[in-house]
Amino acid sequence: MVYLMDDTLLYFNNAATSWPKPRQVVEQVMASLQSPYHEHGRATTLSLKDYPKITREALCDFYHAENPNHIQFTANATDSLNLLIHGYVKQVNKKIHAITTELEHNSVLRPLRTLEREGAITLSVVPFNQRGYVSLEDIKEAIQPDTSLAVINHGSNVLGTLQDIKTMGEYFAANNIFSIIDTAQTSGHVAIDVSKLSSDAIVFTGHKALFGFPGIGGFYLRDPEQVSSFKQGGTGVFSEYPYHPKEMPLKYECGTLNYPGIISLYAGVNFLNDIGLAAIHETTEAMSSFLLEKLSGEDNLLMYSLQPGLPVIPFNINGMNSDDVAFILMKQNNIMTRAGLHCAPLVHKKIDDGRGCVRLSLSYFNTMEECEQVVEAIQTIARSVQRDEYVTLRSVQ
Amino acid sequence: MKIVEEIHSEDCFDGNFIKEYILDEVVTKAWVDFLKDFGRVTFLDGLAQPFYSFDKKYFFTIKGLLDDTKIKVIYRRNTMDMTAEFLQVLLDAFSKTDADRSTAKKLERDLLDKIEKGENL
Repeated sequence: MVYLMDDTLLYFNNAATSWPKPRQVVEQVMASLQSPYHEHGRATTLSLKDYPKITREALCDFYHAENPNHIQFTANATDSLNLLIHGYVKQVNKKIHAITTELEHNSVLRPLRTLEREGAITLSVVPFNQRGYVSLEDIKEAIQPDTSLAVINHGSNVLGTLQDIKTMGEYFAANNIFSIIDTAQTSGHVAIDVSKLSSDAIVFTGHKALFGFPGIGGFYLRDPEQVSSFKQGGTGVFSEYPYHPKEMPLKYECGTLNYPGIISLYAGVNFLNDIGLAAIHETTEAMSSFLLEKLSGEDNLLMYSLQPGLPVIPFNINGMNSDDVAFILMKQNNIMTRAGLHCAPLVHKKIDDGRGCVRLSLSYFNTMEECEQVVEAIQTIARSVQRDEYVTLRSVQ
Repeated sequence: MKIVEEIHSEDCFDGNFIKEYILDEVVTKAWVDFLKDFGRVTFLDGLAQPFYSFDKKYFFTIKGLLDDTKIKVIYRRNTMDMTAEFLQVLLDAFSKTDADRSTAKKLERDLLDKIEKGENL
């Protein structure tokens, strides 16, 4: 089902970038390189597949959106969030109040903080509770008369908790607040039906659970009139017109697209449709439940999220630096995880005083046998530390 | 001990610079014990291959497993031109005489003086 260069590697860093990719993703991209791409408006190869078009259609179906031309390609979720956040504030053209949450990635926090520093917005950051959820009541408390923008995390990349974006979206829509949902972690793990959501935009990236390559992402935007474009350039059409077209899907896309990335995304979405999100969820849920059950029984482990909706498991070993734990897992057990702050500093400030933790994150391609090895490896480290074998021999500083 | 190959090099853009090296022989507990005289050593013994970490403020952090020839060194970027030499001395002096260890201590002091004077900060 997959290509593996290193079949001894236990890869548990899928919340950063999924690996391995499905065989059909790799094969379809490789096959596409055998002939020139059909570049809309830029080539005469009419008999070739128009990958951007069919990928927009595939994504439109995947998200149950109305108009495939409102699916836009970007480099990743960060690129999408920057475009939407800055583009919305530019379009509004007056100082507004924005809200976001403590669960956000820096891809949300930094654009908002930058706009705040520039005086374009005021910002409120809504806290999450002890279980990793943001309540609608806390959002309501943060709302001000000039609140006009909300950027909300669907699934936390550290805690794996899922927010109730349907209820929040309805509230934002009822209060005329433009809302952007960051589904970087959830797209491909959780069914997202934008026809049942009231949010104005959803952001996704290709390289995580959608099984595409790094460097491709995008967003769905309900009403392009609400977001200014700040990039202009070649589109292959309307070339005689001196300004950048406002028509979709041209409005936010300039220059030649990332064809290999788009094709990987197309193949990734088709793979997900073939397997089915329910089957994928069932598989990853079984493995993450196993890991949680086994690891939460260890005395010396600090578990930060006991009922995540995503296969994301953050932990620390009492008394140990998370970088050291990740280093040992990698070097001794060939288990790849991620340690540190995961670009979500406010989450870590709350759960571990900003020191960072180790994150296990799974995909459909992990196995229960791998999870058993991970449990054994972590237990060995944790029990060694418990026996006071993690010692500072001497400090001369 | 000597470095025979640099297998990875990475600028973290946060003030740190990581390099991974292969040594000509495996790291032993004796070398880790030797490092205690030069900085903070952390050691985890209960693993199939014990883990060690050596941290020296302003200089670098070394991480590795015993009985392994690979070491990971996290340099402080702004002092690494000077401290890379000190790493070689730490590797070299270990297997030699007390005089060589004195040389290492002297270099350590000289480098610290330079660093504290802000020459490379």
